[in-house]
Amino acid sequence: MSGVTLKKVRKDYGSVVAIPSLDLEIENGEFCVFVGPSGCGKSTLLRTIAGLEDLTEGQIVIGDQDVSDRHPGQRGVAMVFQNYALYPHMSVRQNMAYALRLAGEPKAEIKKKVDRAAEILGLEAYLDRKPAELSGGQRQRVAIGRAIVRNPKVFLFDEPLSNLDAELRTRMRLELSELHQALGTTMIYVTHDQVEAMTLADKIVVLRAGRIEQVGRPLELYDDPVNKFVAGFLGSPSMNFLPARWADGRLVLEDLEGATLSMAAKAPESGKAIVGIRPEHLEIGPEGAPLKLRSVEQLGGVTYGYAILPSGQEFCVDLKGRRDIRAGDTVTLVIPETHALVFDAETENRIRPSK
Amino acid sequence: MTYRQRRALTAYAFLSPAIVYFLIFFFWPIAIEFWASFRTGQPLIGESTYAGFTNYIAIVTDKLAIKAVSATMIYAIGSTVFTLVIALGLASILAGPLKARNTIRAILFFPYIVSFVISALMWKSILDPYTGLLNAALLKLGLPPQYWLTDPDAAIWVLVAVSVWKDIGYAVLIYIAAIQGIPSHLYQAAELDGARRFQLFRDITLPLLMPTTLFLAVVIMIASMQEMALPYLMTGGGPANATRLYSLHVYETAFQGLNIGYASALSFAMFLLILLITWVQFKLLNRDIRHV
Repeated sequence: MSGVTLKKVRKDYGSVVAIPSLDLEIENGEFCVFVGPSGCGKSTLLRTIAGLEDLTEGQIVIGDQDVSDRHPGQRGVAMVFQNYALYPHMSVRQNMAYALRLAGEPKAEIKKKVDRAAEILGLEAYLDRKPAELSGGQRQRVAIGRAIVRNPKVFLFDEPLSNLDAELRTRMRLELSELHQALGTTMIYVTHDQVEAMTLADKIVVLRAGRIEQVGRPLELYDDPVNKFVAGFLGSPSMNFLPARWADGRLVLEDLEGATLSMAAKAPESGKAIVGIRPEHLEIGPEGAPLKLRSVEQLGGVTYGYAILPSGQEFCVDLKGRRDIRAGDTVTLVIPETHALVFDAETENRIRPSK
Repeated sequence: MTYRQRRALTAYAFLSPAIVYFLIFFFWPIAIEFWASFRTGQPLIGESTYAGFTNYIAIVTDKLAIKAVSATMIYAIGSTVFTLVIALGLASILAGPLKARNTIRAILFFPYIVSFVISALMWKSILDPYTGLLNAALLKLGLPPQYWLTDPDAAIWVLVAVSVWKDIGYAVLIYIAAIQGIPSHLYQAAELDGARRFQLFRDITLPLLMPTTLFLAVVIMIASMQEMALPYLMTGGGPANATRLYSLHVYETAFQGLNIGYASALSFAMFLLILLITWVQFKLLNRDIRHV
């Protein structure tokens, strides 16, 4: 088992800079998730760690060894691909045994390791089948099994659950979490699904345009984002953002009929800000800002109401399971000041209250 | 008429021109040939009588036919194996990021679009022992001239070489398309499993190209087994019948010897041999590869 250290990692594709310069420390045994929108460089970063992409500059250290110039097979990493990448002409057993066969391990040892991995993943009955004869979930297990048998220092997962249906994705997510607990190996996981990131990660790395926006534990990032991007990326439904202006030490929310919030912080020069509030933090009271709901989603346990604000912004409110509210109804909103996050309208960085 | 019946009728209506074409120009001649192979005298062109299996039994004792089978097998297997091996090697290089790959592909494909008659006559001229370019080049290099088409041991291999030259572009093109169809993530997974260049080729490329190899092997083998133009134009079947390929033997038996019944039996025997060889190829090369 080993941690992973990235030092000034840079990746260019010709004149296009995918990752400008990135430093990151992943602890031994940690489950680290890279999240970000499409094109943010998360898969590129993972593939660079794997050795499938050449590093333009910088250093990748796994354990105490610099692996920057090593062949992918000699880095001590195993990867699970989004589309499984199972060898279609080989049986499940051959797929799982391939790396060991290349490493010249004795046949008896290979059989023992493959059988053990198959037992962990419940694949014993499928060892002689070809990948085309398996379901999506079984293929995913084989891909994981192929990684396990190599006993790698680091597991790399490139959006491994995105090809599965919602139910299977939830089940596999739990299985991955249990696998991490059982093996205790360092895992790096790429996803654009923030639910996977929040549920699986010990540490989340939020990326945008090849740069790290924030690193931290899932709830740290959820509760205390450093900027509007991180705040908006984590959480489902997303955080609401309301344009606001500073007036007499208070923030005025024009979109909510001039509702105000007190904010003990230095106002930016422009006097403009953005107030972020999560749907579940909004309260519905007898008095407050009126909001006419355009649509209502009844999910059984949860009810969400949606509205379009005068500025054109979409707005979501968690109606706390109430089933009596319909589309077209007007609710009165209370914004608890303790949960409102304020961002600079220009830089989009967080403005924290002065202490 | 039900919807299903109407659909079926429409389908048959569209298929009927092709079905009629195949019946008239393929199955009818085969049937006639099969009938003629059991006749003696002048079937198809004159009077004939039923001869049972006499024509087929005669093949076993026909030394010229047996020699033709052996020459045809050398030619067909040689052409198929060399074309596939060389094409695979070239395609592996040309499927990669080579700068001049399009130019090289065009050059390789060029012989395939040239008429066989022109190719054969061009090579006959190049290989001429006295006036040919090849021997002139050998002489320039201080090497002795070779009797390419008049040496019984060399002539059949010269035909194999010309056949490979002619077909290589087609096989390379098919192989390149197949190689480019192999998903890159399989190579990446294998690299992570520790595979190096040779192992990637042996364990990923080669097995995943098996359906393509089977297709090319069957197509080239059948075409080579039926080859007639090349020996007819370049060697006339000589020297000493060394390049008398089976189709040439059938042609001469039928149209020069006018032994139509026997030629039909020879022809039908070749049809059965090709069927057997194709079956063996399927048994040896067919792999169940379904990408997921």
